[in-house]
Parts: sequence; C-alpha cells; structure tokens
Amino acid sequence: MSATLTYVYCLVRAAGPPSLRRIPAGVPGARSVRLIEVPPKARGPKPKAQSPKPKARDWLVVSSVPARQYDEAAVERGLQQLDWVGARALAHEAVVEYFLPAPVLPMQLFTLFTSDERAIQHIAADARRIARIFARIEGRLEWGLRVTVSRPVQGSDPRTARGRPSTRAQGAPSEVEGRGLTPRSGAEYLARKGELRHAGRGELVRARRDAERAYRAIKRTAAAARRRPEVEQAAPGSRVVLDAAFLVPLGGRRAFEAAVRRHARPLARAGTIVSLTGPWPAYNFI
Amino acid sequence: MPRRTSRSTADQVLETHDASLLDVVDNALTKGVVLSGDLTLGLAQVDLVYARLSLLLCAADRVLPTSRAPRTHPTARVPWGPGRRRRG
Repeated sequence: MSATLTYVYCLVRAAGPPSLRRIPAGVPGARSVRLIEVPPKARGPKPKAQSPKPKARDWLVVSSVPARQYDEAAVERGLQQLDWVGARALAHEAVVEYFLPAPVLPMQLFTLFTSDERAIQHIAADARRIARIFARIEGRLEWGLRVTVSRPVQGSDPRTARGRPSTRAQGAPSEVEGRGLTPRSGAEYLARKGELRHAGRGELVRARRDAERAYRAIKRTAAAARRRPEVEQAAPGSRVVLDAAFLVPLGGRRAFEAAVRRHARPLARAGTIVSLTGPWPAYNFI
Repeated sequence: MPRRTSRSTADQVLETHDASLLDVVDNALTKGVVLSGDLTLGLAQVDLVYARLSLLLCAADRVLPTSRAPRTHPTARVPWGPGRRRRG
C-alpha cells in the first residue's frame, strides 16, 4: 500500500473551482484539503437542456492522509475509541459544511482510496446515482427539528405525589391533611404509582399528537420531509416525540422558519424542548 | 452548524440546541454517500461505535444539565441520546 491515501470528504457541484480560502484543516494527520475535478466523461448522463447550470462541474474534495494512520487496520483500531472517531467526524463534517450552500454530496466517514485515480474511478462508476442525488438536493438545504419530552417532570415520587381527589384516602380529613400525602400502605403506594404512570402516558400521547400536527404543517413549506422513529433519549424517562428532517429550498428559508415559529414554538413548555438545527448538508435525502 | 444557526430568526424564538456530537457522527458515519471505496466500513464496526457513544452520552447526561450546558465544542454539546442508527 502506498505511503499516503486519498481521503474523500465530499463532492461539490460548481461552475468553477470552489474557493478553499479558510477551509478547515481536515481530518487529523491530513495534508491540506484540495480539489480534484471530476472529468466530464465520468459524470454520467449529460444534463438536460433545461438545466439551469449546464456548465456546472463536479469537484472532489480530498486530502492526502498517511496510510499508517488511515489504513484498514488503523481505522478498525480507531473505531474502538470514541475520541478518535469523534474528532474525525467533526473534522469531516466541518469540511463538508464549508461548501454550503453549494450542492454538496457528503461522503461517508472514512471514505478512502489508495490514489486520486481510484477515487475518480469510483465516482465514475457511480455517476448515475450521483446525478440523481444532485438533482434532488441542488438548491436545497436540510434542517432538523426535534421535540423532546422529559417525563416525569414533577410528582414522580409516589411517596409524595398527590393522588386524584377521587382516589384519596377516605379516612378522617384531619388525618389526611396532617399526615400529608404519604401513602399508608403498599397498596396505596402502588395505586399512586400506577396513576402517575397513567397521567404521564396521557401527556405523552398528547405531545405526540401535537408534534405530528406541527410536522404536517411545517412539511408543507419544505420540498421534502422525513421523520425518524421515536427513540428514548439518553436521559431516563425522556422521549423524542418528533425527530424530523426537512429539505428546504434556499429561497424558502423564511417561509420554513415562519412555519416552525408558528407550529413548533407553541409546543415548547416546561418539560418539552423544541430544537431546530441547521442548515445541514442533505444527509437525510441522499 | 451553530455559527449559522445563531443568526437565524428561528434561533431567537426556540430553545435551540447545537447539533450534538452524536448527530454529527451519525450523519457522517451512516448517512454519507457510500462509494464502494478501497476501505468500506462494516456494519459491525459502526454498531460498535454506537454502543460506545450511548455509554458516553448516558454518562454525560448525568454530569451536564440537559440544557444550557457550557459550550465546549460548538457541535459537541447536548447529547441527544442513542438511536437513529439504521441506514436508510
């Protein structure tokens, strides 16, 4: 294997070579980030006549990396160390993001070739698929919207939580007041615990329904939208009720943000976090 | 991301988290365009990364407040938690 490998960050479509002024350094150990023009014959089917930028060319964004640090064995070792992966993921992402809002096709982390020629060959072999992806994402950026509900926020402890009035102990009023809300038996404790869980579930159902409604409304302002399955967050009891990606036309950002303000903002309240991130490369639409 | 998000109007009205390290790793590792390159990652290896990330994030979650945590790296702040790991 050669002493250096070609690390590919992304493919950028532009009429001329994109500027590399102030481009991030690239993955650790890499030489400076550079461009390789993809020869037109490697670009697959010719752009149609109505294409707005018939002269756009494709540029591979690469840097040479030492084989010792990035060959198969090194990457396999590295993948077992979170810091190693994390540092490279952030560096990779920084280079990809540098080119936004130009049409950018981000490559998978650790896309490596033994030479520049091999990289070009592989691009050529995939030309049709790449052309299709560019057609989908050109002039658009991705935004992420997430709604997270933390449960339970309050009254999570059945020893002190209030039960519903109807199920409160029917004993002497003074005693109930005086002893506070401490359950007096195991059965009562369990009953309250069940009630709390029930109440929490109702809120979760409501949160999901609200998030779904917001998603549908915001989707109308986007060129495309995707939802990802609900997941439990790292924090115990916290749930992501909406994890969506929107593909938004460059000119439609204001309308999209207005829709987010109108439909998603009202969901944010105690225990519910609404977060909007972006613009991202169109990771979820390639 | 935050350098651009910070200027967005949406940012002013929403409680916006920066993209987390997990988001970045998730995107770059599993959603980038896969070229059948000279080095192609096995799914088993990717899963291993996620198992470790989940551990780290669970730990981080106990240490950091869930919002408004001090910023270390702009994209390495709020843990979103594990999941979302399947290729589309």
